[in-house]
Amino acid sequence: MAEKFSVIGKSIPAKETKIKATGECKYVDDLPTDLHVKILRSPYPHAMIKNIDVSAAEKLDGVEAVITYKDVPNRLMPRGCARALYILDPHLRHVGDEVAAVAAISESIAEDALTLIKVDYEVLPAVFDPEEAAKPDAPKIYPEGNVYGPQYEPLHEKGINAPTLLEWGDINKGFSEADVIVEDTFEVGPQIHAAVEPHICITSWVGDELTVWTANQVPYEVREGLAYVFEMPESKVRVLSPFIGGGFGGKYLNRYHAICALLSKQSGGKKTKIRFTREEEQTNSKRFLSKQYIKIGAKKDGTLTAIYFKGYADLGGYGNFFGNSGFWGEYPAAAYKVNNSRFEGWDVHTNHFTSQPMRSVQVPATVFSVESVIDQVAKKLNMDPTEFRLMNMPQTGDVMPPLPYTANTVGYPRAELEGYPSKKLMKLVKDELGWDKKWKGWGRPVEENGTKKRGIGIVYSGYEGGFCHDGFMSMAASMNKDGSINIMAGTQDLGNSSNMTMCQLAAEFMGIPLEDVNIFTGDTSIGQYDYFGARASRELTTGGHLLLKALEEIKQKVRIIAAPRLGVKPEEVEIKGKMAYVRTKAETDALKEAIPFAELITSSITAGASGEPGSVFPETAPGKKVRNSMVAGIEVEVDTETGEVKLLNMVTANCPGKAINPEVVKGQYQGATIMSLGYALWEDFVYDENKRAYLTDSFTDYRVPRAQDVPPLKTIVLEETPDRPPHEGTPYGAQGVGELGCWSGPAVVASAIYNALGKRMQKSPMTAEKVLELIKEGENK
Amino acid sequence: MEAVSSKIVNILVNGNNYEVTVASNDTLLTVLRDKLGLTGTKFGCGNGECGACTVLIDGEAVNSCLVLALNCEGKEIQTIEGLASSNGDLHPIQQAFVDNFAIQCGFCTPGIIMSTKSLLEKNQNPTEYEIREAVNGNICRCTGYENIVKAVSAAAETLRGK
Amino acid sequence: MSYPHVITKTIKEFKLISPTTIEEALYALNEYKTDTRIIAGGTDLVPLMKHRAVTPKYVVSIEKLKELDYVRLVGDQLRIGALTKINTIKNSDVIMKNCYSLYEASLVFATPQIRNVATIGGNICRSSPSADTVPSLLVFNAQVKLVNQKGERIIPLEQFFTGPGLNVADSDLLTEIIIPIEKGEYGTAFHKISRNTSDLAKVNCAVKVSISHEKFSDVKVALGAVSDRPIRAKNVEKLLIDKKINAENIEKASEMVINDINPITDVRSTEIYRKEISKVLVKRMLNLAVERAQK
Repeated sequence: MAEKFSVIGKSIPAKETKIKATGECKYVDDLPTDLHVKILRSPYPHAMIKNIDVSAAEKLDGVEAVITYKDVPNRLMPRGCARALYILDPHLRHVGDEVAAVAAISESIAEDALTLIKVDYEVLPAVFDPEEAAKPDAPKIYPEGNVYGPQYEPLHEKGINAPTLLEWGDINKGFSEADVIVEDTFEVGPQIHAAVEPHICITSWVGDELTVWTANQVPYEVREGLAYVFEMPESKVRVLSPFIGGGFGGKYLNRYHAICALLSKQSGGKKTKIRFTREEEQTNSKRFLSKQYIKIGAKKDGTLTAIYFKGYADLGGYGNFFGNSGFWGEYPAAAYKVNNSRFEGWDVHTNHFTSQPMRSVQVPATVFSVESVIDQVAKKLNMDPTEFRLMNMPQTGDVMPPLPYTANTVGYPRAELEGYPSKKLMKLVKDELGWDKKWKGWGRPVEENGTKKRGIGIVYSGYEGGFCHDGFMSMAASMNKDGSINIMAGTQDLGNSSNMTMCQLAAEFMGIPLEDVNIFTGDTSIGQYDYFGARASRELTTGGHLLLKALEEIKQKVRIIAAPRLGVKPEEVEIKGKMAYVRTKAETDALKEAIPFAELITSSITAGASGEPGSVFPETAPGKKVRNSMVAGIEVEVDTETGEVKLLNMVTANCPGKAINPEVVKGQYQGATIMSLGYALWEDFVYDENKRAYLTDSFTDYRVPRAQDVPPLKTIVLEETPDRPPHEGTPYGAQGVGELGCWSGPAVVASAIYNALGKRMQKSPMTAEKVLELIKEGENK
Repeated sequence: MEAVSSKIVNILVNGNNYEVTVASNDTLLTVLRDKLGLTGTKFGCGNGECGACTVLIDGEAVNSCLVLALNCEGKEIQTIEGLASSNGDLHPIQQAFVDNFAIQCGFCTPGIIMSTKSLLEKNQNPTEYEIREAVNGNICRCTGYENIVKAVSAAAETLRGK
Repeated sequence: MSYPHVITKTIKEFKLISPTTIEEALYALNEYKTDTRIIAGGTDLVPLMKHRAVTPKYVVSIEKLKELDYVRLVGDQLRIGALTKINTIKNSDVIMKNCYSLYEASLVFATPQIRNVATIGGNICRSSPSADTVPSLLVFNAQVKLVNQKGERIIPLEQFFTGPGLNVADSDLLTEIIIPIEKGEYGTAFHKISRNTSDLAKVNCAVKVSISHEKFSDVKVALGAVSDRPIRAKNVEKLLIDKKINAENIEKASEMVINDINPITDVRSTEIYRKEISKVLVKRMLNLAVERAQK
């Protein structure tokens, strides 16, 4: 695309950053309330409430309402893509599950009231390991069994235990062709979202109207769920999500919204507010724990012949989002050019709290496992790991997967990759890291200094860059008489500048100054829709796409109005800079005869856009598909006496397609990368079965990265844009940028540790305890 | 010397004197947010771990969630609301955070800006090490700290030029 | 903390007493003997009260006792007022010059916000087995002054701790830490191993060595987070005193630390790991302290 851009491609701070810097910005916690809500939570991982007595709590001065499972509708609250829930349920499925709730005039009275509630529990056997929970004799968390899935066939509803299965080519043939086969098992612990802003909700149920203020990634899901469970029309439920203090996949519709609403109703329409304590926040949502078995085969010349993946994912008691591995199921075959591959993903409920996606569903754990085996295959072939990857990675123009699917092809058509400069990324990282000078061979440190050994590692990954379910979202725009634009967005800004990005897209597309665009979002009364919400960077890929479609329709309407006045056909009319003129003429002549909008239109022009019902457009143009690609390298120093891993230098290279707001794009990569280093090293999740306690329920004992933990980080952004109109497919060839930064952490750290020590980590996070244990093990891997 | 469960006290916040009834079990954070309406200071953990509630007491950064409000009588408190000038111009630190893309979700921002203010009041030419050390009590889950360090450095440069 | 049935984050009502002199403070502590807590910086007590792990009826705030906020050299003693903030220690030239390991501990003590309010007296009185200031004080043979209305007593810090969160102070006020400073050549070192920065210790360790004629004339080793209280590693010390300074002796003695410690597995680390790195830490701190003493 040779076109010069005037608004996109420029780094512009989001408008609201100014009020965020001054403290004027009102997050939900900053809004007024009448009552405070507190939730009584289960002390057992698996139990039934036999008896519950709230009479003493109700009598406490200052208490306005108390609810238990006896007070909630006998109706399951649906959620966008997860198990439906009763607002309160006598069947408790994890420590911290909701037992009862109180609304009182102060937080301390609400807390006191909770201590007065008497509960008799029937304690049930519990199971915490997904592989154990999948066995037929495991304690049943759901009557039909604990296995959920497969993704596109909810067989669990029929009591059938089955994994999500994806298959390409012939896996047995693939392994029979291999000269070298490596198999290994891995376990990656959960990571807690741990946003600094705890979950929060204020509700006001007055008459037949319910208003909800909540920091939420999917406000329309909240509206839909509450309207359904309370049997109200969606038009009477208004959900506002003005600002979100960090989401990362953690802030979706959950019980607390409905609990708060019901308490508002019961207290006669008073405003009720719940703000999670840090302890509740840390035991509310997490990334899946996963156990993975990987087997990879290759020929002597380095050609991959087969990848087999089997994994168990812990969904927790409920799961939120499609509790489903299908979302990373394609990864093993999508990242490498391999003809034969098979994915078998078991999604299993356990007695832990809910698992949700976190900056992608389960890609980082899978990248850890697959890249660890890719490393081992390269070693057996005696090939440089970067060369081996270069040989087998697809790039722009390749059709992926190479062979058609033989099982479960829904949603994954073969397509030609767009914006996937994987090999260039690899070269950039190698150069920046000094790979060719530093690489000393497999399992050989770059440098040894007494008890310290330095190692380097490079990993690569590639996956979906923003799921484009355009049939599940709507965006609208209104062109005012003066040519300025109002965007009425179904998208939700998570603090990732998606609102600014939308405004930049609109300004560029309409040829008007950025100042003339305004966006309205975070309020369901805007009248747009988004079923999936701010997940998977869909704001840009899907929201941006629909926005440009709506704007194109506005342009078309103006073309039709202007065409007779210009004496040409509508398709010959160019709309730009608040004027209509003839495109076919030389621009200077055309502009002389241009008609300003003020002379053309007497009312604002509005258009909305949504995809065909049910439509997902993983193809960005016929037969084409946008994909994220990234390469990351790191140098670490392992202290062989203490197991401590010091991060010396990290380099990442990512392709965003077109970077609409480059500094914002870079900021997404940086933030995600550091989050993934926390996942790799410090963010351990500890549940003590004896104490029935999550020991990591605070920032004291759940160690997220701090400023002094961060290594020198170089973030390379390489743009690559397709040659097609900006409104066909993802806007201007932009890809989602929120996820890929966090795919590398565990994989790249493990690879560098291997090269420092000659031993491979099979478990992440790679705490000093685990690294020291590995060092003390006699056996080389 | 009485045993007090609640008392009317005068506290000085951002140069303004507030007369307010404070209970012995009120933290400074509660008083700022719920009694004075200064909601720029955020609640993140309540345990002094995340730094979202950072304010300055007599120029030193502290976690306001751990401070008993009754102990604040006679002390000078600065919050995020006291930084921008009355005509709406951002303080150079705030401007640097905006310009350097150091703000994403923004929830940790007021606390980090206050930690920065405490640093730059004592040290106008901090090294990168000193900057990271000064904000190590503030958790930011969004940015990875890279742009925060850049912003603090840029703010220091602006302030030195003044 | 085990998962509570009810998660509380509001502090139960209490009465706050704010003495302005030590005499007033002692009077208050005598008057309200039971259900009373002393608050200084509050960084430990406030979270405990929020979780209702402690629910005192009375809280005596000593933060107005400015007379207890000092660092001074008196003869051959370094005296630190109990209300001295960790940040004051971090910025004190006197401490850096005379008690380097304590300075090192202040560098890695929690966060800037905590260092600005937390006091050395509070760190001692919290009596956490992992308290970062304590190992350095132990290797200097520090004493603490405990005062009540009846009088004062000075006891070795080592005798102050009686268990996790427990100590001998009853209705006493800890007012001062007294550190004897030697004239001769000595070196000290402190290091903490933790999960990431600004974290509590998995293990912390301080060492002080005195050297005379290429021999250890005195050795003190102390560790935190490896027992029910901060401890001295006397088995290590014994093995080194009057021994020649060399790698072999240090290595051998460091291994002995295993007989001084009794670590547990918790959320921060494991028993096995703590045992392993205690040996490493002792060895490294001994080497570092020797190096510093020889300078």
